[in-house]
Amino acid sequence: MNTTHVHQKDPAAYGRVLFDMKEKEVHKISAPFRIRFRCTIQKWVDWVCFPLLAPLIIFILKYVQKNRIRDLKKVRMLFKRIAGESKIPTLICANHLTKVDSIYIHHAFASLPYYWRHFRLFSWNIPAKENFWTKPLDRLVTYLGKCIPIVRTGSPEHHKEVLDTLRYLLARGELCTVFPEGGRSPDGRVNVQNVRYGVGTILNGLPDYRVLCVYMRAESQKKMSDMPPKGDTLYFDFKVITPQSMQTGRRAERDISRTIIEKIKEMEDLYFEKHKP
Amino acid sequence: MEEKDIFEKVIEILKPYVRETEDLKTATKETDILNDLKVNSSRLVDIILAIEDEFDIEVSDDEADEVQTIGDTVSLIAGKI
Repeated sequence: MNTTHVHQKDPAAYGRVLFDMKEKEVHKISAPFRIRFRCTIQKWVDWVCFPLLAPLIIFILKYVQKNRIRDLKKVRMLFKRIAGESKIPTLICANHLTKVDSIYIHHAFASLPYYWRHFRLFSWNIPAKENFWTKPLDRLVTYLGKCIPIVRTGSPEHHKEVLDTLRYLLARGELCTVFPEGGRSPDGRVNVQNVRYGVGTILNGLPDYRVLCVYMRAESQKKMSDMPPKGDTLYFDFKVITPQSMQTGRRAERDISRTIIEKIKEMEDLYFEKHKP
Repeated sequence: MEEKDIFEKVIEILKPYVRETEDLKTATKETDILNDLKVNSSRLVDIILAIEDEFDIEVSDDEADEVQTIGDTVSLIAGKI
């Protein structure tokens, strides 16, 4: 189709043509059979086990930890609007304060029945193997929670394979969550200087994408911990951005990663502005 | 440019990224950038980009992955300028 011709006649149609072109490009992104097979099997196993495991975890969050999400309905409505209606590759990038942040993100964004019906929106995670792969039970829960463990000190080949896997999953319309700081923030604040460029590496290989920047914090959380303080309410804020760079290669990856972490930092500043003592 | 000059420039480039700048005073070609100088692994990319800018060279991903010591860095640069 001649896009210029469409553009002149109907700008909305031009937008659709561009979208279709990008979508075709996105679908060209693939992965070796081994990775595709592994991810497909894991997704199906996780989906089957989801009704058994997820309610137990939510029970712990709600009734043992007694944590609540502020404006839960609003957060879920916004998430459905952002992620539920489009299959544009969407990477969730969040600040990182506790070992279970990704579980709270899952809980905040949608109900269990909604995830069951739209399992692609239950995002994949990349926990550090050092933390979650030592005990058999941890391994099982990690596997059933759509996780792809990464060895932080692993070889460049290993890191590349994990990032390629995430890129492939994003291209298939799956959501993925990463923490651009790489680890939890020791002093409880987003460290812009500590950003890992892996997030830029994932996105730079995609023809079309968006980033859902998330800032979350238990309201009495002072610094990093294993779990949010018991009985605390968690604040959630998120913004959708499409970070771009005029550069190529590593420089583009750096630009993209920095844009994301700066946005999360901006959201943190807003949080502290709103919660001045 | 002589290897000695490259070495000195590399030390300058490394300064903002090392935990203790004092460690650079005793650094040799055998000094491991990550383990001895305690440079955060995610900052290696910044170091490679700074080297590209300083020496006006391009370093491929594979070449960057091979860099472990200051000597590796110096040899890499010397081979490209």
